[in-house]
Amino acid sequence: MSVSQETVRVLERLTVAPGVCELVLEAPSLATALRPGQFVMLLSEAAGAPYLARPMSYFRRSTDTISVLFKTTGSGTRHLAGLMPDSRLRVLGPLGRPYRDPAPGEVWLVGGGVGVPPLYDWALTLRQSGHRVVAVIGARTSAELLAVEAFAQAVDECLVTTNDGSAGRRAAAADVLSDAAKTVYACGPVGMLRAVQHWASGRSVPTYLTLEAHMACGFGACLGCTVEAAHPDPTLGAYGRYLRVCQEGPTFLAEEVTL
Amino acid sequence: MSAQAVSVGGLSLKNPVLVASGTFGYGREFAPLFDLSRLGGIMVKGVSVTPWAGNAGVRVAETESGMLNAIGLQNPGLQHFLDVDWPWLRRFDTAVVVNVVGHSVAEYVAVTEAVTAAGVGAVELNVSCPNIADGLVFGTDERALFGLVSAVRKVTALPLIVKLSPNTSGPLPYARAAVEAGADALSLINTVLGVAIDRNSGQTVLGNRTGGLSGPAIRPIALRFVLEVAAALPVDLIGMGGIATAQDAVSFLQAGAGAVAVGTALFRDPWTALRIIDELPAALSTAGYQTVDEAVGRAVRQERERRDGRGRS
Ligand SMILES: Cc1cc2nc3c(=O)[nH]c(=O)nc-3n(C[C@H](O)[C@H](O)[C@H](O)COP(=O)(O)OP(=O)(O)OC[C@H]3O[C@@H](n4cnc5c(N)ncnc54)[C@H](O)[C@@H]3O)c2cc1C
Ligand SMILES: Cc1cc2nc3c(=O)[nH]c(=O)nc-3n(C[C@H](O)[C@H](O)[C@H](O)COP(=O)(O)O)c2cc1C
Ligand code: FES
Repeated sequence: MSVSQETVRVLERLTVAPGVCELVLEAPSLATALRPGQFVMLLSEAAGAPYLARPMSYFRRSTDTISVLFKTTGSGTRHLAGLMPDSRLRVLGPLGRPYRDPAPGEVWLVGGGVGVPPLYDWALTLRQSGHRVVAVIGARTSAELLAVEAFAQAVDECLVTTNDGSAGRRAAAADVLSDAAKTVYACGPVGMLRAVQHWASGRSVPTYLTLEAHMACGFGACLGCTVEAAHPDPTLGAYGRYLRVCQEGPTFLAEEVTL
Repeated sequence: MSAQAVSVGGLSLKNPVLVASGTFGYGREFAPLFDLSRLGGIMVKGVSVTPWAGNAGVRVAETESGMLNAIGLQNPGLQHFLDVDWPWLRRFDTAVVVNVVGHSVAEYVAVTEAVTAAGVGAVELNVSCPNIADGLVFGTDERALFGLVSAVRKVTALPLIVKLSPNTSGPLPYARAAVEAGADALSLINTVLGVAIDRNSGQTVLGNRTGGLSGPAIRPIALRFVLEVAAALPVDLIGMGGIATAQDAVSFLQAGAGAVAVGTALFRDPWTALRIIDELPAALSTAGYQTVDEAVGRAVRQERERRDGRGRS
């Protein structure tokens, strides 16, 4: 399915937690085209909207809708969070590489803070194909935990962690990873990703990290979204030092990138 | 010849809309989206003699009506272009302009010689790079610019386009130096130097500290450069800087550009250049022109009269 840009309608705006919003968009063709792990670029043309589009993973989808779940952190997300039902957005997608398939055995999904959205549809897909799935949902405090109920219903086992112990286990999400995990998919703040990367080093458990980067285009044209390659392709010379998060990612094997 | 066809610096274009260097890669990311043959031309990402890694850290920052970039001219280098990108790109029926970057005159010459031999459509020199020998940016030093363009001129018979930097007090000395050294056309403008400060950390956002501003924010600056050069020198111009609509393109033609290039607007909507190509005939006829050539330089005459003191007061 090739990339397209559609003008879509906002169907619903849900305040999920303080400063966290879910926008439901009417987007039938994207709803069928998107694969777990892919993302979209959201562009608003309303007055006061910022110049560049914003990258967002999709969270949920139905036959004719997709949703995005995001935290209000700056001008763009504030604008998106203020969109009323019936307003229009331009959505470019599907973008990025879908998740790569897991190895046989238990799959662990580790989501920190607003890193949970891409993992949810993947959890559903993995369960459907018969995998046993464990989710670890972490945040600093209980108020920042997202989508715990949704994951609890979707997976075989859902572990909750908070840094301050206000809900679930008092731990960092990466600390509860166990050797039962045969494949790991993690998305969240870079500190959490580094901890997961550290856990993975020296183990032979395929561990996938979904990264964020500042993006201008989202489809590989601007070279703005780079991450350092851990093992640059020697045939590319200096050019191989960086990988594009939007094109070669957003999900990389832990050993592929230097964070 | 169709009403859309133009020629700039001896380069024939089926329509006057190109895509700007560094905003279109080598075309691959756009090929699944539309037929690249519909474009007037493709100005590819800057090509250097050896592969360049580009800058570390954050490379793009948003501004109110545009963006800053500090990509650092990351590119896979000349050999990769010759072996992989050019054989793929040449199948499209569009003019391929190779943007050349270098750290020394010898590097610009080497790339130009090789792409000339390969048979590309034209060469565009990005002179906004510092010369490693003395740290001076070629494009902001008239003598360095003259030396660079003269040296490159000797090794190519292709249309030679020099892309001027706006980070000078004005275009004329540099435009003259480039033309006297043998440039066939000028591209106006490259990005405008700027800085963004992160409101939380108080530090520069970009890993490289400074970056190049592009997008609608720089359109008036670009129009001024085009108008000033068009009024002063008989040289063909390719206008760029914040072009996002057919009306923007018409403004650049009226200011004196014979063709235009679309850059940053492609990041918001990758089909922008096609839309401009489709809408340009209507925008021209609304403005009272039958052909592109009729529109070119409409504002120039007035500019010349004003300069010569014969205009309305
Ligand atoms: C592939 C991908 C998927 C994402 N999915 C989600 C998601 O599901 N939910 C969610 O809450 N967030 C997600 N993000 C992060 C989200 O894109 C940023 O929070 C958002 O761009 C911030 O914009 P702003 O205008 O509010 O912030 P500002 O700080 O005002 O933004 C200024 C500029 O920096 C960029 N920027 C700032 N922070 C980030 C960041 N963390 N990542 C990327 N660009 C940034 C903005 O896009 C903008 O260009 C994702 C990012 C990527 C790359
Ligand atoms: C991300 C990015 C990369 C660029 N890379 C190059 C380059 O490699 N060589 C060059 O001559 N100009 C480069 N430019 C400048 C553009 O070609 C163009 O001159 C400038 O952005 C103004 O046009 P715009 O406002 O339409 O983008 C780059 C611009 C951007 C935004
Ligand atoms: S965001 Fe433009 S290349 Fe990745």
